[in-house]
Amino acid sequence: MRNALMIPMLMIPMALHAAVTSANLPDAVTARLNGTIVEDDISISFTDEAGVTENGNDINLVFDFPVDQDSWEITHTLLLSYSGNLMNAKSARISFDVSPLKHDDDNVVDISISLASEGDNISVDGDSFVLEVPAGYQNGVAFGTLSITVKKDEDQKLTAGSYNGSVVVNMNAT
Amino acid sequence: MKRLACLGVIGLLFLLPVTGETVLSGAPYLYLDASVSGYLLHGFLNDTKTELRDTYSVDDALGVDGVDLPYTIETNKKASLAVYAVVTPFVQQNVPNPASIAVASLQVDGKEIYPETSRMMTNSNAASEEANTVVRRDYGTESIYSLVSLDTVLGKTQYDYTIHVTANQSDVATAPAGHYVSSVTLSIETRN
Repeated sequence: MRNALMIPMLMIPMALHAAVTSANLPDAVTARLNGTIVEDDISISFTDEAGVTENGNDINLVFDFPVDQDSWEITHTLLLSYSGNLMNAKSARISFDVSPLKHDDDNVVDISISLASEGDNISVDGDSFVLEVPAGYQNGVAFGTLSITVKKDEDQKLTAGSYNGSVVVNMNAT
Repeated sequence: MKRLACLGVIGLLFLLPVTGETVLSGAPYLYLDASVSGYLLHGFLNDTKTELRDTYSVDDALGVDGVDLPYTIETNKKASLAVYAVVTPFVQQNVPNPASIAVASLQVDGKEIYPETSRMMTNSNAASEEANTVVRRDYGTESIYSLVSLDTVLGKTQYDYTIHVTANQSDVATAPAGHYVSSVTLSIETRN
């Protein structure tokens, strides 16, 4: 019986020692903080002649037709910019589908557009801009101007009223 | 001898009543010594706050609210301690020319800690002729923070701290898309 008591008693200090030495940690401990900035695809914004920038999908341009002239030509110019935050660089083609200003089938004013590029890595191919968008954060990088011209010839007669047309912007990025 | 040892052990168990029987006039004493080793541990508490870990990983660390690191020191010794942290910026991963996002703020239990650009440290480079001499270490792009000065007391074994790290939100707003990692390395210096 005495021998049986001795063994557990002698083990107490040994057990304590084992408990504090088995949990050793290194001198330095390190936390790893992870974060991700998600990719933001290319978006196009337009700045009008008054300096107002529109980022939405629907932008209104108003053409006031002169009433005291038999022929006239009105041009509005928009500055185009792109924004985005790409993982990898992309090539983008921006093209335009134009519908004339129309009151009814007999009262139509044609629209023409012209493009001018700004900056490096931008070119104009027919009625399209071709641009190389680099990887990384880009905010409001101007790349060109879009001029929209409406024109009435002297012999064209227009009925008073509202005329509506559109310029649809298409972007194909690869 | 075996009999004496047994008596001594039993005396420890039942203390006074048995001591009277074991301390006999003219009989030899048997002194029993036991020691508990001192320990000094530190690390990050796991989610259930039951285990210290030497590494810790936290996601979504770039948000405006920052992230918390649950740091703990465990010791049964009386000591004067200083904890310091070496913190790297958030560095973009897996790109040839990585961007970085600065650490805007580091707090310990709500108190703002400001970084130092260098620190006097013992040179632990065994290969150097100046090994174990005190040198000034320049941390370059890393920052060093003196987080906590602590005098431990007997009877208390666990000291918990919350380290709060916030990324620079201006950098976040303009940083290239990608995965970013910052490391916070914590070390303890004993001062006595």
